[in-house]
Amino acid sequence: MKQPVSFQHLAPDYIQRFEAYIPSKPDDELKRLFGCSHLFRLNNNENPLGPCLSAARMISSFVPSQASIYPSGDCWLLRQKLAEKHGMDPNQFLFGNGANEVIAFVIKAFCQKGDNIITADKTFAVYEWVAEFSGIEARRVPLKDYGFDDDEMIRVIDDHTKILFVCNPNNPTGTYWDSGKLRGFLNRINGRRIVVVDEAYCEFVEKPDFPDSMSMIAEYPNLVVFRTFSKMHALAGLRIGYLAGSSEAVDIIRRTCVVYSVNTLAQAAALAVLEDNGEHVQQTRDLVRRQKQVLTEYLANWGLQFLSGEGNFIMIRLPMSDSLAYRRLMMQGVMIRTMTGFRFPNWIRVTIALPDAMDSFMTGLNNILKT
Amino acid sequence: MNAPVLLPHTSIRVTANDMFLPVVMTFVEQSSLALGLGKPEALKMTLASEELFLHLCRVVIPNLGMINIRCACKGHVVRSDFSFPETSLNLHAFNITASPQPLETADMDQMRLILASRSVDRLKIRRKKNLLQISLIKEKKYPQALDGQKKPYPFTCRDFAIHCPTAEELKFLALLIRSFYANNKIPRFFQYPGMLVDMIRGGDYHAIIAQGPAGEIGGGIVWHLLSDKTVEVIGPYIFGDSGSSRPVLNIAASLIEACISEVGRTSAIAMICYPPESGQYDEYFEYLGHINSYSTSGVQVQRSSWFRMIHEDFGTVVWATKDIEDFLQQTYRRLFLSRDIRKVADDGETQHAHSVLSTNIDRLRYKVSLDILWPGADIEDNLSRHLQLFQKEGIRNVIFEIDSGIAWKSAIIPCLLKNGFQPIQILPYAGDGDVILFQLFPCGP
Repeated sequence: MKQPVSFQHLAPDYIQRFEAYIPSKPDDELKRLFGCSHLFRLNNNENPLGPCLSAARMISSFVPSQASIYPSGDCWLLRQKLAEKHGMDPNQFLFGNGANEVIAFVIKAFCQKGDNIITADKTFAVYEWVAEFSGIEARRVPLKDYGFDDDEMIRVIDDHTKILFVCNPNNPTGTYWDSGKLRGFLNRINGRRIVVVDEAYCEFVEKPDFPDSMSMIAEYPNLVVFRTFSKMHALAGLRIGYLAGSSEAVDIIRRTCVVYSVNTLAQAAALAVLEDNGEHVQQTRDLVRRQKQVLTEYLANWGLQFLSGEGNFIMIRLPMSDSLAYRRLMMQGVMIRTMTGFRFPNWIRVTIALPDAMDSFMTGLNNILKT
Repeated sequence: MNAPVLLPHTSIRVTANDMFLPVVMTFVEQSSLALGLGKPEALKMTLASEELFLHLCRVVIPNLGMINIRCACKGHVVRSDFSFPETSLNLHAFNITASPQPLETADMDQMRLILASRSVDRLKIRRKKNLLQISLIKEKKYPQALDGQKKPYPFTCRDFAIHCPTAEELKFLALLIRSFYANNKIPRFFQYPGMLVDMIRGGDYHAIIAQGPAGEIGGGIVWHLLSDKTVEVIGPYIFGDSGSSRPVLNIAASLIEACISEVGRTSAIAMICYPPESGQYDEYFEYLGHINSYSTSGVQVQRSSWFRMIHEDFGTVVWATKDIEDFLQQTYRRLFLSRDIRKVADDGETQHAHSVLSTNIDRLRYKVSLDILWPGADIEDNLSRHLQLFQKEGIRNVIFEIDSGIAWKSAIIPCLLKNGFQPIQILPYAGDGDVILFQLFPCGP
């Protein structure tokens, strides 16, 4: 037998305590395991329409010889384009290998041992994870009416608080802070801490009072905005996201930024997205709106509690363990996201998708609710 | 979760030579006293350490290898761990049955590991990374609660909030649990409020309560990490009036949800629950089955087990012999668990001469759990020796845990079946893979 080797003693305590995230297996492997012939992925809030036409063309025209050349190390063209679009300076943008990477940039830039960050208890987990495996305390404020609680977040600030993370709209509840609330919060913080507003799902929001946070950066130099190309723009497989902030804030964050982490194809496709005419966004919004309507009517007929806020997903409370529902739906070829890990036991999150996938989900749910 | 408290410990490293026996005994005794054991308990721990150290020196590590001894307080228990690299071992002697003579003719007093186990509450043998470890565990002595005749009033409030209890609230929680639940429905530690407080302070156990506006307690739930990946939930215990079921159900649900939410982002991937009452848990947990065991007085106790996964299940490999294929198929179908069942068989390959079994003797519950640490050609004889020993010791409840994620462990399944074990339950992800529990039958008196 092989002698086991341990390097535990070399790892810091906070790494030893941390449990690695286990992503799902490839579709073919899952289909084999769960004995299903097809698989609708309704677990990651991907856009079922795929990328916009111009990005799709860019991807299909990618020349293999370009793969041997390093990409632009700092996504130069993309930053020019964003600066032009938002009337800002290119140096106010930083790109990462997905928005997850820029979360790490910000925490590494501002936090050291003994510091803390503040976020909600039931939100996107990566702020908390990155803090904890970096040895930084993550203070989790309970949601209030399924939304971020501004008063409580401010109450738990202390001298060691460096960053406050607000997911807007919140994944997974779909609640959001309107312009007035975000502005009020920033006023109360008064520039003393970094406020990160993660807008991964902002393109799905059609409400007129949703904040235009990019324009607020000039007024609030401590505001850092996250955006991603993974959700609405359907480039999740290429991993590209970015942050925007004041030159003063971004200048510090850039010091922890790993250059060359965004590949050439991702940069080219993202550039095509930024140059797109917006039709794709509208088509996606229409699809999400229609299918949410269908799904919420179905859920109401079953008398199931649900949260249908902003974003391309709905949260549903089931009269059974969410992990059991996951397994039973997987056996019928439908993959959803369990919410126990988001501290919502017995809730699932379902991505809004094309009608055939939604029908399959509703049929699958019928089957498990009847027995 | 309740914030863990960093607890002190002591450690020494000695050569496995019995000339150091006085050093070891003094170290263990003084450490035990300093870590909170009373004088009688510290002496018993010392006695167990003496037997164990002599066994290690004379039989297990004959080549003057090194032994690390660490004494630590885990809230309500003091634990002495003796660990050493497995390469230095006479593996055969690591079995609890190890004796210079055959079991049939052996004087039990020469079986030093079993002697050691008699002086402590639990003795565990396990393989951890590249170390083998024998742990002696002794509980601190606590006064048993003396309850008055008057039963506390049931909780009737509709409003409550979930909180982590203070030490005094924990003691009151224990009183309420004793008042509202039969003794055989509750773990022993609720009879000893001080023990409960120390268990929570030790950081391995966690508790939350449902509290009304005036501080009255409507229910509570306790949990702890059972293995690296599995949390055991104890409760929920509810103190409502049976005539007002709705608030009672709300309290139970709120406690369970709060507990699951706390565990949701920890390293645990499954929860096992042994609820005190039936019928109100299927919204949160899935029924695994039940195990019959016998108490010290010979009374049969049925314990039902429930579980839930914390995360999405991406399936796993189960190694098993064909003898239990029907049991596996039926159980996995009932639990809607996708498993890749792979056959393991003895194809005549060369094996080590001696097997090693891990033994976890719980004398408080007259129970022993076995696991295989090292495969060997003598497994049948070795298992048989263990079973004879347990019979002599009057231990009625024998469970063999097979980690089906490790192929060579599953290879001994035919040997278990031949010796009277039957598969009774599967604990998802309780080891490297699912743990299959085999119970020895007949197990009664």
